[in-house]
Amino acid sequence: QDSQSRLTGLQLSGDKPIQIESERLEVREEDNVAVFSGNVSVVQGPTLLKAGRMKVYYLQDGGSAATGSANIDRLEVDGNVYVKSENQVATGDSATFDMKTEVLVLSGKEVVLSEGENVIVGCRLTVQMKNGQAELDGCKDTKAGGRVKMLLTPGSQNRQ
Amino acid sequence: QTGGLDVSDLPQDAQMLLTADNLIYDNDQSTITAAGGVQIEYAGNNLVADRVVYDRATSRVVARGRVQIIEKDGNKIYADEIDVTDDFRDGFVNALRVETVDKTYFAAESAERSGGRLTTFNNGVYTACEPCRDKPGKPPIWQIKAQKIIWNGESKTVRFERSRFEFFGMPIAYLPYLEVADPTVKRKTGFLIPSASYNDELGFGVSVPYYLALSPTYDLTVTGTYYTNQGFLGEAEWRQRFDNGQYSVKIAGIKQQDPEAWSPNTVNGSEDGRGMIGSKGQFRVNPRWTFGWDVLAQTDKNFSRTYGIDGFSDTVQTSQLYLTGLDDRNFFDLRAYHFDVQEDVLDSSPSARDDQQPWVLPTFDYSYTPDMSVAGGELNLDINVQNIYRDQLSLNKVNGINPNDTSRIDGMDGLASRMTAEAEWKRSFVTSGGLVVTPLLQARGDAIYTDYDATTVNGITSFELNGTPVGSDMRSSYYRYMATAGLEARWPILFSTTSASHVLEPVAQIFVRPDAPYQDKLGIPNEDAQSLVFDATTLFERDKFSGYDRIEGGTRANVGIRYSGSFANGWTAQGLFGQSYQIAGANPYAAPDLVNVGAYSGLETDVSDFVGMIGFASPGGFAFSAGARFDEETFDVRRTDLKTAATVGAVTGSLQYAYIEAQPLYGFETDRQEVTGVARIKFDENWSGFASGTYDIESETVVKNDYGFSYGDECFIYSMTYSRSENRVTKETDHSFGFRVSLRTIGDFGTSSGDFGSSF
Amino acid sequence: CTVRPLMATPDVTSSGVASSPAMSSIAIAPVDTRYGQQVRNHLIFLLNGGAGQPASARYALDLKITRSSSAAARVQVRTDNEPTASLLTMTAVYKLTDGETGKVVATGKREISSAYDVPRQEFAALRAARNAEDRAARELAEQLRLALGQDLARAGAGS
Repeated sequence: QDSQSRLTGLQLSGDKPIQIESERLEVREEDNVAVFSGNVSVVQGPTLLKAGRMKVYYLQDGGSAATGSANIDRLEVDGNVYVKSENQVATGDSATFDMKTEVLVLSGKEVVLSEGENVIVGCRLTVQMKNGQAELDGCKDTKAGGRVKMLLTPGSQNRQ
Repeated sequence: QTGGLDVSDLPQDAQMLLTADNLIYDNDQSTITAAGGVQIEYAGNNLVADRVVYDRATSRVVARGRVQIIEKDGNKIYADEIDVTDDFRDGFVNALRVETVDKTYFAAESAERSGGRLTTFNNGVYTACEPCRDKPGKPPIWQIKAQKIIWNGESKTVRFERSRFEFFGMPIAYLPYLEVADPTVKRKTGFLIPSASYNDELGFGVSVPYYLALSPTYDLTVTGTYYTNQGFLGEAEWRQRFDNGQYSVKIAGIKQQDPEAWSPNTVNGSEDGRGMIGSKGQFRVNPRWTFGWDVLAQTDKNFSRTYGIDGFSDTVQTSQLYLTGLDDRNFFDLRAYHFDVQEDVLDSSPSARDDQQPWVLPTFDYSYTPDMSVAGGELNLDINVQNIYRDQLSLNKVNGINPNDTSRIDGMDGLASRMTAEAEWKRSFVTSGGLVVTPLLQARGDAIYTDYDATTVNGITSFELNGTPVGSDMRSSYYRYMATAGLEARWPILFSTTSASHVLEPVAQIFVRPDAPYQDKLGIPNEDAQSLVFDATTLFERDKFSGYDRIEGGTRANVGIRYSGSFANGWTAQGLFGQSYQIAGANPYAAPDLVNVGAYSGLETDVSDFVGMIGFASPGGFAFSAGARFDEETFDVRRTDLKTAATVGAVTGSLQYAYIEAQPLYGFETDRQEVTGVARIKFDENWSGFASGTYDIESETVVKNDYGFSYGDECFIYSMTYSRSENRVTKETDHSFGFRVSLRTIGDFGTSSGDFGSSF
Repeated sequence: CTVRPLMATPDVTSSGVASSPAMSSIAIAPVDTRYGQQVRNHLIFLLNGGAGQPASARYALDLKITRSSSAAARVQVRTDNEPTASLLTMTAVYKLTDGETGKVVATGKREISSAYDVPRQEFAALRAARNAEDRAARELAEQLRLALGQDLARAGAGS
């Protein structure tokens, strides 16, 4: 492991092939929407996303959702979202991913992001895919009083 | 443990828990930024701040905004900004305050910490005084400002460099270099605070103690004292502690440079190489038995007192070795004594006392009371063994009708031993009318062996009382016995009203006994019954002598009435009044005695003086008690002791008055009359004052008075004492003045006599 | 005000207050000093008339005994202001608890002083002080017995 355990981050970039599987698929051409439901799993390179249901919104620029050739505008996923990348796992209730801004927002009663023994718990995880910056906010309403918790092993220990 | 953030000995797998309102996890710079009430817990250390940036690459934690760190050992650090490694081992802090677990406080513009051990404060301030909550700006009573304060966790020291000591904010001392023990340390090898003293003959003295904490159970303190007149005094004390007791050994010695400082024919003036060795010890064998010793041996009789050797400087230094057992109703005490009267007069002088003190090898007391009743009553068995050796006769002539024609021998020269066994049986019967009748039987046997020196034999055979020889019966061994049949009757009557209850208890005792053997001629030594005060507590004693060497014989009756009152408002009262009658046989208190113990006691006449006492006390702390003896015919007061104490608001005072009519044959040619007053005032939570005085009414001199006041709070104690004493004959006075300043965790300065606690 | 012998047995008293049997049903907690033991031994005899400590006592008595001695007179027989007469004061603080109800029946404090001379012979001075302790302890036990009688009478009359 190199000196920094870099968070390779949840890289769902727009230009690599995405393989999506689900039990059912419903396409609504007029709304440019494709709805995958039932054990949806999305794989792109090392990143895996699993959820109960995923709606894919396509851009209006002519491509058809059915053939998958259209460009994806954004994804909306809900029903126990599970995102796994190289060494990080994030879970939450629902998530949205905007292809243009490459911002993934994972939210829910308890959003958990873990990397090795380091664990972060909060309510809204906003990940900037471009620079790998992840911001976690607490849940304003719950009794935890909007607090974010993080358990990590200090870097210096590994270095000794 | 050390000061500052010490995490060096952390468990390897310790994890850091971080909570915040919001967290930014920047992967590229691999930093974690937490904002909003950030709390970090890591291996017992807690950090709280408004914002924390944790750079995982450099593993530095930078906290800003109301930063507070509480270490696992309890030290608290407040700062605006802290930059420290994520294992808290190294780092620096700006504008910080530290509050240690022992309530000592550091503050500094900045501080660095390295290796988890060394914390260096720049432009720091150290004090042990609590910051004033409502006026934070107000300087504490004392503080030490230093360019550099180095708190070393390794050597457990706090070093101040280029520091100045400030008192109420004013700098009063510049200390280029000062090192004190880390406040969290209980025992540490190093120099203790030096102390100063002054005395006309010794000169100005500075003593510097060095303490060696050799192990948690034993230590050694070596003290060097230099006196301008007398030179260098060396002292060493070894102390060792076990789980059932501890002991200590102390040695001290000096080669006096200027013995002529004292007047010529005194002990101090005639010595040059002087020294002492002393030891104290106490061990608890089991919950009932303890044994111990407190012994002193010195080159001359006044060394330890002159040089104030701590623990061995009493005027009468009693050396003893003992084994004591005490349980439920039984008592056992085997003890050896030697007395060292630390007086400055040479042995040849008439007023010397030291060489006339005895060796007591041993004195043994055993009292056994069986739990089971014997024939329905209580049996008490008492055994006493006393073995005395003295190598100097103590005989003086006291003036009876004309001076020097009455002798008094209070210390025989030679060997005298006595073994005594005594049994007493008593039982109480309560009649239906509430009359309490107590028959009593007592039997006692003594075996006495004497081996007097010729001077003592001559002194006893030529003993005179008011010019007439008394006659002696010198033997090498005496066997004597005593048997008593006694009866006591009491009839306590209770008078109770709604608000008070009183009990009046008339008591009458009669003891039928033969005369005590060998009582009309001198021969048997009197070592433990030399004091006889006939007062209310002596009236109903079966044997009014204060020791076993004299026996009360003959048929005697004691009659009196006892009163006890208790009132609803919490006041209590008590009283007793009575008289004693020698009905048949020879009056033992009129019999001759080597120290004339019965003379003027009030019991020497067949009808004794009257004795009485009254006392009352309030729940609020007021108490008054008075005891007195009145002549049986003229009712003149022969002796009285008054004592009263009261607490009024912040002042607690007590007064004690004593009047004792002259008892020439007993060693006191003049009346003794003195009043002593003590007052203690607590001005407020910190300030308190003290005053006491003893006024001898006979010679109209204030024999002794002391004043003192003290200020004390959680970090600073200052006390000042002044005492003056005046000799009632020569009217020569001497004064002594003491002060003591104590800065918690730094040390205390001043004279030992100024120690407010010990002298008041 | 009612007047009656303190130690009278119940059938005689008019107010029907039984105190003497109660007086003999007090267990005294052990003490840890010689003079404290003297007070306790005398008090055990005064309360039980020689029958020893009651096996199962209704009341429990807790005693705290302290003593202090103060110089009453110093006279110039000695140059160094040593006392030649002293006053020994012995104080007892007691608490009487009813074993059955656990309630505190009474608390109180009694103090007795006994005077003694301090001879020039130091051993005689130690024995004089010891004798003063014994005398004060015996008289203090007497006062405690009367006090307990009054407390029980008041409690007895009360309950």
